[in-house]
Amino acid sequence: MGRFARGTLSFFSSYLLVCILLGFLFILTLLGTLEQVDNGLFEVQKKYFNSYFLVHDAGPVGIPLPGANLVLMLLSVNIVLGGLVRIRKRWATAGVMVIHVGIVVMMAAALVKLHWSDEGYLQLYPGERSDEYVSYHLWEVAIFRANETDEVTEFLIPEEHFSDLQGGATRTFKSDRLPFELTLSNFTKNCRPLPKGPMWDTPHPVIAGYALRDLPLEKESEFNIAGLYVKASGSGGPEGAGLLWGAERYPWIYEDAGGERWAVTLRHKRYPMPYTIAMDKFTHELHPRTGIPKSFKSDVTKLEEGESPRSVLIQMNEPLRAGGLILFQARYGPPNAGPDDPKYSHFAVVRNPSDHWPTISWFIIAFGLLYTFLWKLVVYIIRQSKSRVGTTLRTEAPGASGSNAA
Amino acid sequence: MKLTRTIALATLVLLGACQKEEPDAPYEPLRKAPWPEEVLARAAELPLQDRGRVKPLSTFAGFQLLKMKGSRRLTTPPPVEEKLDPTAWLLDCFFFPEDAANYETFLVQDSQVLVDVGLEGKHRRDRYTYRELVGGREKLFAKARELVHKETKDLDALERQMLGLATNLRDFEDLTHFLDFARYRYTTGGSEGLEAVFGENEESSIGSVLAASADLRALYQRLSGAHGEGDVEEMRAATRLMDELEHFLQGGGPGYALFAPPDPAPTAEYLTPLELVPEIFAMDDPASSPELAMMASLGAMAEHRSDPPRFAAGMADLHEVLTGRADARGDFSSIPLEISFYGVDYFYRALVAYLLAFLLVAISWMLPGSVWLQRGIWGLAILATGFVVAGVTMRCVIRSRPPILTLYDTILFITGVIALVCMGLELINRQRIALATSTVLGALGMFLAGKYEFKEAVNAGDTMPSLVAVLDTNFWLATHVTTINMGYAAGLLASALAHVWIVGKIFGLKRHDAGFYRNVSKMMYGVICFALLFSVVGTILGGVWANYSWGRFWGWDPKENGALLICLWQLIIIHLRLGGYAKQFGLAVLSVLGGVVVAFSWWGVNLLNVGLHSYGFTSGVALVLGIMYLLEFLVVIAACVWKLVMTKAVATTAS
Repeated sequence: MGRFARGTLSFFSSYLLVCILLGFLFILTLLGTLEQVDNGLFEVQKKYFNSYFLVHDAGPVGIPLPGANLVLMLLSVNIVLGGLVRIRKRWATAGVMVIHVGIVVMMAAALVKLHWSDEGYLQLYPGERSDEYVSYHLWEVAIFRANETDEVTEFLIPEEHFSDLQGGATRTFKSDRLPFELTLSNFTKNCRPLPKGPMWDTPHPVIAGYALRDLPLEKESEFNIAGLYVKASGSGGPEGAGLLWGAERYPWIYEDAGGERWAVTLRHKRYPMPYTIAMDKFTHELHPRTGIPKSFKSDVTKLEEGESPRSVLIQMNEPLRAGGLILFQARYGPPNAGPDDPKYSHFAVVRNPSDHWPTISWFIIAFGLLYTFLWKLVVYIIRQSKSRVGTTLRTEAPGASGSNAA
Repeated sequence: MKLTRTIALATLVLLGACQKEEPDAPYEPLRKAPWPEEVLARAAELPLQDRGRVKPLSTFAGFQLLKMKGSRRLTTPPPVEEKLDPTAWLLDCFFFPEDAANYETFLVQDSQVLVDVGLEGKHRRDRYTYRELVGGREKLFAKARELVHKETKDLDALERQMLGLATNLRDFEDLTHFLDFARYRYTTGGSEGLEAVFGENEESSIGSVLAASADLRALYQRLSGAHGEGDVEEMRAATRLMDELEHFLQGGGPGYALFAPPDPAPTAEYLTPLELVPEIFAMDDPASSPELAMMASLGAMAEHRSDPPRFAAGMADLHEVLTGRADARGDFSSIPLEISFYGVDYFYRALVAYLLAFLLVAISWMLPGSVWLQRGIWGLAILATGFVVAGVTMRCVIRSRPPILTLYDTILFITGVIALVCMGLELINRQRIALATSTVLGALGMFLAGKYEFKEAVNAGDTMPSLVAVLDTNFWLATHVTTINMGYAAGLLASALAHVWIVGKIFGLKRHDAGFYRNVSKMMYGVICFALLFSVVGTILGGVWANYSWGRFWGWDPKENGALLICLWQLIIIHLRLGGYAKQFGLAVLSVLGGVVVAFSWWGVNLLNVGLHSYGFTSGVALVLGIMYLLEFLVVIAACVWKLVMTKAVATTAS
């Protein structure tokens, strides 16, 4: 191995690097915690914890910092090189190596969760059923025939294909099975459609007297309602232009040259589930004479093709795990419902291939830490007793004086 | 919060209309003898449903008194000067409200509050009787009505005190008017119909009225359909009786849920007198019902309050029915234990024992060779820690829960863990450093627990509140919450040992004993390793819990981040030490800062009021926390200055 390679290896496995990286992670965690008060979790998470670089706004100046993604990446390299490859392999360090293995497993779990998982919700009133769940944050444009009633075929455009359409940028989407093409533009993360008057200006086009009015982002990202401009053309018929807004109750309708009516809507992204959940009963209980929730639980039936229906109770700390999905009892509503009004049950739904990996990592890390701590403790106790014996002997010897005497 | 305050305001307004006391009448106690022991014992055991759980009346009384007076003990004014426990005070509020109005029950932190409502203050921080305050009641409630619309965080200290005093005054009036319905003699004459029911009794007690409820119902039904000339008068008399009943049942505010429903009952809710009376009126044969017996006992006790034997008999009857019902529902089993828990006052005793132990530690510094002093310190430290452990264990048994459910519990638990770890360290190290540290931290912990209990009494009325649904899991409470708090405890202990090192160095203590500082440093490092073990294990366990409850292992929530900050800081310390970048001085300074990180995670993130851990949010500790941060940074600066001076001195000597 060359000198440069040795130097590089030495640097990436050094205590100095790990201290610097842990220091940065400490600063990012602290800043990201404090900033949540003003900017909410979602934005802070993107800025500090899902980034490679960032500029922290510290009053008049901005402080450039590495993002948590970069820090964790370098830390992983350091852990593998310093904590597993270059570490002296002895019984005394065996626990440390085990700890580092556990941390690697935990980081792998985080990586898998970050890139290969999705999450959303399912909200059902008693008597309702669904085989799809809805994203809290992501949007999609759905196009379908407006007069289809039974089986509906949808053409979907996910958010990543239009989220960059700002400042006049447009993108056109075509399909062999669509008789027209759709041009999207002016995506905005949080807005309200309002009649355009002289009281407010907008950088967006005005359509039929309405325009999207941009709003500041909400602290809780699920309360943002996105908007988008859409133009349909190329069917041989007249061009159509409209506004799409995430909370609109009815879709925008375009009639093609053949007279067929197409519905276009902007909605939270939907994920299919491998089974259907039918909501049978929702119960919630308060502690007597208080408004403190004691328990809330949902009796549901899981319906899957080829299997007999299965009754399941989902409640706090007892989710349903099935078909790679986990359904958690999250909350209930509507918030203004009276005691006798029907209530919906809100399930958080997560698909996470690394679901149990953190538990495995916990076992590994706990074992490693316990081993290391006990090893050090035993060594410390032995040394202390030897030191006491030595001190006693020295004190008993004529003319001896012990500075360490108890 | 706003809703609660609005309801409180509405109650204030309602009560404002019906309260008036004579402030200038001389005090002559109406209760001529102390409450008999058996009456107090029975009253203490009465089960009451309050804030979602069934608790002994003595606990309720204790928190009410603590909230108003800042202490659970009260002495009646001269000439009697009787020492009252909370139950005796509550009995006075219920049955001798005229006496209770003369007790110094209200703690006013700043007498400016009183000046602002046109009253005269005594000392800056003093206690007042209801009679002294009643003159400013209207102004106080008017100001409270204005303040109630402000956000809590926008209230200044004086406004908070004003609002607190108004709430205490209202709560006191609720207590003293609770039994108005039992004291009052209802008008049961003036019409033929009522005479047919009550005979010649022009006035009747609550028991007699309710005993005749079926007849009254029949009378009411008969009169509802009748339209004769005399029937209007009859109806008016019957309605007057019902109005009186309603008025006095409602006069004492929302009332207290003393009456357990029969078992099995469709509801878990206990009933207040206001809720119980319609149940009695709905009965066909109320005479033999326990519901009537309960109300009649209350009436009899109110009527014979100055006749101890008859009062005691009424209390015995009430006790039998109420405890019997609670027992049948499984609500009574922990009540005797809870009474004993508050009766012994474990944490106050622990505070006293820790302080005495520290006193002996201080003496032992002057007489270092005394074996008896050492034994005394050990004995007192063990006794004090025993009180803490016993108290925490009893709280677990009473709630059938692991030791930590609230922030208050964390103070107790962390103090206990620190003391135990210190004793373990002392057994290994035998330098008397860890033992001395345990006495200081133990006393500090118990002092803070006392202060926070008062705050909880004001804000929550209890330190054993009902658990929100997500926390209803003994497994995760016993594992994650316990381990993470052991991590907090060890982090704080390391910081305390670092203070010993820094203060010793700065003041030149044991200047020529390098072994002393080496030992402290070793202990510090050992405790940091212990802290890391529990912090990491606890933090990851929290993530695993979140993964199984909310579907994500890590959500960058402030409380999670707080735990991560501790782990990161301890990892930094350990790696700096392993890499040779931090020696004794560095370890000490970093450990002091580690204490700041623990305090931020333990308390600071709860003040941010954001995130999913909303059940842990708190307020009112920002000032204490700020002072702690400031002091710790001063310690660090002092340590750095000392290091600089020493380095220069060494360099000068060398040159």
